[in-house]
Amino acid sequence: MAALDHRCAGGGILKRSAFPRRLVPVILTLAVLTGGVYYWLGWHRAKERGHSGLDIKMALGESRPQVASSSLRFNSVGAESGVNFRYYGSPTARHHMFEQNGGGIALIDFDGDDRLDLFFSNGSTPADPAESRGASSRLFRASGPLRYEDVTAPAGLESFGFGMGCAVGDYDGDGFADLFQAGYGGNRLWHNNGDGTFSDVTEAAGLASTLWSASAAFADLDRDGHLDLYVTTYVDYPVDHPPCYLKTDLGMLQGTCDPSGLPAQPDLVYRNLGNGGFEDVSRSSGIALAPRGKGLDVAIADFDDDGWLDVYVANDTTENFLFHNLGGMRFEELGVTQGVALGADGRLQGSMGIGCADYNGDGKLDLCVANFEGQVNDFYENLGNAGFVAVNSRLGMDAVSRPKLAFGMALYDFDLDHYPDLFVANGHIWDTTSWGLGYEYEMQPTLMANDRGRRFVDVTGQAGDYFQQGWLGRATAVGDLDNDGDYDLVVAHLKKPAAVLRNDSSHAGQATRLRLVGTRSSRDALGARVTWTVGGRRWTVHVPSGGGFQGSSDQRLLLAVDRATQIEELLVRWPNGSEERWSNLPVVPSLTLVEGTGTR
Amino acid sequence: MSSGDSLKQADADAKLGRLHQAEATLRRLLERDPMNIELHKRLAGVLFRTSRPREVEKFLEQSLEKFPADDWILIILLRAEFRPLPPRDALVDLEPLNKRQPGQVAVVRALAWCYWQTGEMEQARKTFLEALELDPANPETRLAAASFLFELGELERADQLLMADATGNTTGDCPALFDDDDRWWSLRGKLAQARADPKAALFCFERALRRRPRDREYLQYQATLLKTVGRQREAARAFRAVSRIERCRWQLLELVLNGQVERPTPSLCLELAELCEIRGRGRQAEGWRLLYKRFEGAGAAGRVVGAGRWRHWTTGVRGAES
Repeated sequence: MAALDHRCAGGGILKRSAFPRRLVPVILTLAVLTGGVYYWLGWHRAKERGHSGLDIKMALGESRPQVASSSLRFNSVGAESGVNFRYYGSPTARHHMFEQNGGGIALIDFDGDDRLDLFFSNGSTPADPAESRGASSRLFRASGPLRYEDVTAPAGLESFGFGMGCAVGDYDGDGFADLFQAGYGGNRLWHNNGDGTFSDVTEAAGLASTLWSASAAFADLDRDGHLDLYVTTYVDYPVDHPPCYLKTDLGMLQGTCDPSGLPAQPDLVYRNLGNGGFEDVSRSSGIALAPRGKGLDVAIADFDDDGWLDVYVANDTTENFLFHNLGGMRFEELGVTQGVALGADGRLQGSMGIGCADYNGDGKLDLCVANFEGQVNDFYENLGNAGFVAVNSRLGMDAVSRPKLAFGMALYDFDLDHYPDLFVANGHIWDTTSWGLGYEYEMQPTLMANDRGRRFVDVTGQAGDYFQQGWLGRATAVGDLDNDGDYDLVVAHLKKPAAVLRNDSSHAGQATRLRLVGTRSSRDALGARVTWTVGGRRWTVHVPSGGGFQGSSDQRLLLAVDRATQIEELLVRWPNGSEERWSNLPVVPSLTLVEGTGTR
Repeated sequence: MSSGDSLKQADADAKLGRLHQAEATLRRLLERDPMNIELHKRLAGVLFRTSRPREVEKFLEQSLEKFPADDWILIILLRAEFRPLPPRDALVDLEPLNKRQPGQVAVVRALAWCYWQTGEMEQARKTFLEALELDPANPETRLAAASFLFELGELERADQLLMADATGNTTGDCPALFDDDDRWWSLRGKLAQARADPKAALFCFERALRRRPRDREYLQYQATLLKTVGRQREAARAFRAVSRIERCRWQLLELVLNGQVERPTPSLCLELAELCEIRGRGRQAEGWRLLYKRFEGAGAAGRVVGAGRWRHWTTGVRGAES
């Protein structure tokens, strides 16, 4: 009989034919006895120590600090900046649902002076309408670094109603940024006349709607060179909807209704006809044919890198959508099979805001989503063609985000180390503080530093005074407000004034501020992808379209360049799918690249 | 002591916060008198009060074997899953209870879990340590503490808790004390995934799914991992299964929160049976079907199933519903 080799656990090789079988019982007996003695000794020693041999104190001992200190700092420049916007229609005693979203924010350089101006959409309340109180949406023109003056009336933007999310885009390509405002009971499109004034062209442009619209984003979805418009809609909720109550053993507390019992509305997509008008293509595009979602935010980017802009929608208590762009203004909904519809544990989430950036430098745009209290914020890593995987646990999001109700979200490189950090605006919708159980209504915001794409570390405690207070945080927008080469923050709140937060972080390096100007593509190049190389390493960012929760952020990009004197290579993929390259660009504070001036 | 006296003693213990003793007494009584529905109810209440949802589920599913169409058990099973005590509410009960009657592992563990869920991480760490010092080999405490450490990114420490057997020695496989628990495999899977080992993670989640085949979370992780290792079709199938299960869960959640479950009609019984079936809760599905048949047999009078009887089925806690 041929000898058979068997590799045993210890790695030795026994030749079966050579092994003396009569020794087997003896060895087995010895093994049992030895094992028994060892087991008894282990147990006995454990008893002597008062606990098992496992070093519990070591396992659950003091936590090791994840970062010695953080360089991320923001300081509020609220009152002295001249921005004194306080949202009207903060939750009244009636607690209407539409009083909870808060107003939107638009960072819009409406006068073309390369300084970001600020627009805040205002709210109302049925019992005491905004108009009777003069509570208009407001436009603040930047008159100097972080100094603003209210120009609402001269700009022709005095307007009243239940204003919510904002979208900025030069939809007619005349070089001046136009403004769309979503809302409950009516949306608005203001055309920038180029002379410091706006005209309401909603009806003429074909954008009137009575659906409850929360957020919106401009982007050239069909690659025809004109900015189309995506509008998320929420739920059917009539003004005279009966009140809802939170029930406890102590009694009932009137509070904002939960959306889960209300029918969802279909999202809206408008094709820009190129003549100042839009056509509602919600059904023909496939968007309105998808199962309805209760949409609160939208972010548009080329997630699968196929040259067509895709649409991601955060839905409240329904599955989030990922509309894959098929071309020809047709979309297919792939949220579930791409792994971005549900939370990491497969749960439907109460999703609000969206963050979008390449968090780990692999060249792919990742997604994060702000969720309700008791749920963790989701973070989806983009695997390319394979879709997304939820990595929020691995990245350290869960424990930090679970106790918070998150709305606004911004994934930006605040300290210019190439890795986008995370800001989250938190605040509850139900004031249950009277229960005396420690529930929070106003909540601290969250700031998490990105540790080189490996993990996010909570640095809220070191981030400045604003972060040590409670707020009813809602919309969030990001931009280089003072043109000093870093990203500042604007946050809208309920009940308290909006905050303008200057970025006072120490920077790992410097940045070049890049503006893209499309010629064949849409002029604003929303959704364009920029890849640049410094020090031999490539980094990727995209021109934001949507995201943040009801916010519209700076369309200029800050490219971190360390201490380099030149950008070795810069590659732009324009929204029409074409690519252009620039080489050896000098590092300057501000750079404008016009489509057609690079190498194809 | 007679059974009646023992039951009174268990009630008194529960009221005074001696939950460990109450639980032991009730378990002892149940061994003697397994068909006493009151004992089942009381023990479920004690387990619920110390935030032990898995144990409540396991216990009541076993109770269903004895009382297969008991509406109380069926409803409490759903309420325990869909209306667990919010951690802040639970703390109101547990903190004073722990001061009055310190040293009860289940209470200390529940406290630690509540601190964790409400973001009091250092307090949670200390309290988990306390729970483990009280009973280092308690599998529920080990699993909870390991999950906590995993979330904090302390992977090695989480591993230590999972891989040590009852004597504290590290093993190469699932230590016997965890009894091949699906949550052990799930946590091992998460640890493997965090260490960028998707194949090992997938293996672990497949093991977890063997124990709980339609668990939404495990299926979601499995789907994600299948995607990571390039098995796209299988991943898509798993994702779709999760979506279907989750939609059922959501329907059930709404039925529980709006109170419909507490007034089951024949058609609702059938709907609940179907939803439970899709979620892999076969015993509950069967229970709802049997209840439907009971309704059909009893006529209209039998359809008014004790509405409101379960509103206050635990002692000393205050729940919030939305």
